[in-house]
Amino acid sequence: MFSRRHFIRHAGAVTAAVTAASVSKVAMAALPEPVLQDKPDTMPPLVPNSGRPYNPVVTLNGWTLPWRMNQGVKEFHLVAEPVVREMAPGFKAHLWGYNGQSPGPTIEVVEGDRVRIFVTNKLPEHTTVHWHGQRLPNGMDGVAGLNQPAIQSGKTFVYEFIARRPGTFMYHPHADEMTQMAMGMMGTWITHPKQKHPLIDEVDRDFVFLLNAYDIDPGAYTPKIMTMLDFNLWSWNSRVFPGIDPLVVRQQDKVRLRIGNLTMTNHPIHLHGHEFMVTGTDGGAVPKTARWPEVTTDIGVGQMRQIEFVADEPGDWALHCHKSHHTMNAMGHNVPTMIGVDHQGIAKRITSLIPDYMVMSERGMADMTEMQMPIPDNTAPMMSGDGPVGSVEMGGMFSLLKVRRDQKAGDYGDPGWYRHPAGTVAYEWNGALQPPQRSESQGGQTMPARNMPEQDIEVQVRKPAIKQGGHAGH
Amino acid sequence: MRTTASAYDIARHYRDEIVPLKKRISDENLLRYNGMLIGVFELLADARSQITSVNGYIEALRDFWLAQADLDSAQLGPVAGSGLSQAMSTPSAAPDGAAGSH
Repeated sequence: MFSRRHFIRHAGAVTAAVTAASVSKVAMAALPEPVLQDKPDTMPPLVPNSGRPYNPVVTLNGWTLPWRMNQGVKEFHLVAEPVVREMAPGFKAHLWGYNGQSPGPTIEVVEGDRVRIFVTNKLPEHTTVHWHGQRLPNGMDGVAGLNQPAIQSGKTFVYEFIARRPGTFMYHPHADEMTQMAMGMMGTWITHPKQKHPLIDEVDRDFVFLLNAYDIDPGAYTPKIMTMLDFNLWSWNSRVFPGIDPLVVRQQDKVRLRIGNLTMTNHPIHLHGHEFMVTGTDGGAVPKTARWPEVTTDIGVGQMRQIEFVADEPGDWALHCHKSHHTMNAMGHNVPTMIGVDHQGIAKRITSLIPDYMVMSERGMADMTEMQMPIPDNTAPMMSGDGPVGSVEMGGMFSLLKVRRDQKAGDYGDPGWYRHPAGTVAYEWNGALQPPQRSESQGGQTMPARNMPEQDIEVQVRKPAIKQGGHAGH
Repeated sequence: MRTTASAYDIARHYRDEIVPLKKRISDENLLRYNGMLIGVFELLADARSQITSVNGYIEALRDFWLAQADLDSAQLGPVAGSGLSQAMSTPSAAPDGAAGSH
């Protein structure tokens, strides 16, 4: 007899059994202890204590997963779980990640290593892990439904393969992929070459980070997973400026940056002060004669770019995505542009209606950093960042490459601001100014234009005048 | 009597829930305007909707008092000329009637 009471009692029993299996100490005893990370800071590189030696990488605002050596096999334990990630000081997000943080820890192995990765799923839904870019048996590839049944909530699966190709790769879920990647599940995988490789140079500083993007309503904590294009937070390793650590190097160090893109659009990453060579992708190292010089490298969706240069210019150099909206934190994309709009008289009338109203953005947006106005809780300001001589007015995908002559080898600590030698800083000119030359004509035309509008509309560009008190109309 | 009770409930709902909620929404909208997340037009539209809700409260309150006045006058009974006997009899009836209607 199938009654409702019968059904409910049985459903309860099934749930209890699943929960019991997921936390069973006996079942977990055979796995390596999961290592969790609770800080969003850049951890020092993890020097290998077993297996073949290599020069470890530094994960920006991240860490490398330690392993357990079990009869010649490196065993890692990834735990897929909901996490609270601080994306910038004062702004936390409820994401999904691995081992306590989003993105997951960097996995570093050496070419030829046998690896065994235990993946425990503590998410509310099923998941898998796909090892992006790697050559491995098809059944280890991690596409749910195709290569393996998905890892159900509470279960642990094992992936085992040999790291065949040296290079930089990524890992991310391949079950409900859109949702899980929108919630921040991804990580980097580095396979170091087993001996000196003709195309992979040894470097002094090796940094790695992933590009990711979220759509989090200001004041909210959880990203909107249905967003396809209209993201408002662009991050490196789930951190936004001013929360991204600087990349600190010693002058004359050979520096390598490995950058993977798991957002939904391409990002041209630009470095100030130096040119670099693009030396590799997640497809492999670029032959030396095929390497091309860049100042900005465009990383497409699902791609990784490896760039190398010698940091021979001392100073604090900006490193950022050159899509200027990606160096802003959350802002309203539909806010009307007020540049040139005459606010005289209006501000007073609005203030009588809304007492705390202040006129903004009629002269551009720099006012945002000058006036410290209250914003919704748990929101990163659109542009901020206090540099040594003023506000940097940045957000999102922005960080600094700090090159110092006296930085100790292996020291990644922040050395403070650069002290400029005398005579090398742009300064204000107070002397006489000749009247500047202005151009009045735009030149001619290649061919006569037909079907022109009847009236010649001249567009008025009204430059904001500098008023004595600053704000007019208060 | 039913009209009075429901008018009372509507006015109380406005006063205790709708008007404070609209104020809270307006405060949050100002924070969003400060952060350049909404523009001034959206802020003004929200201010207008807040004003509308306050007007709605005033009207609900007015409706309540009108309904209450109607109820009171129904209990008082028809008020004729200024006959002394009727003026004497009505004050005693009114407190009982008023007490009974609550």
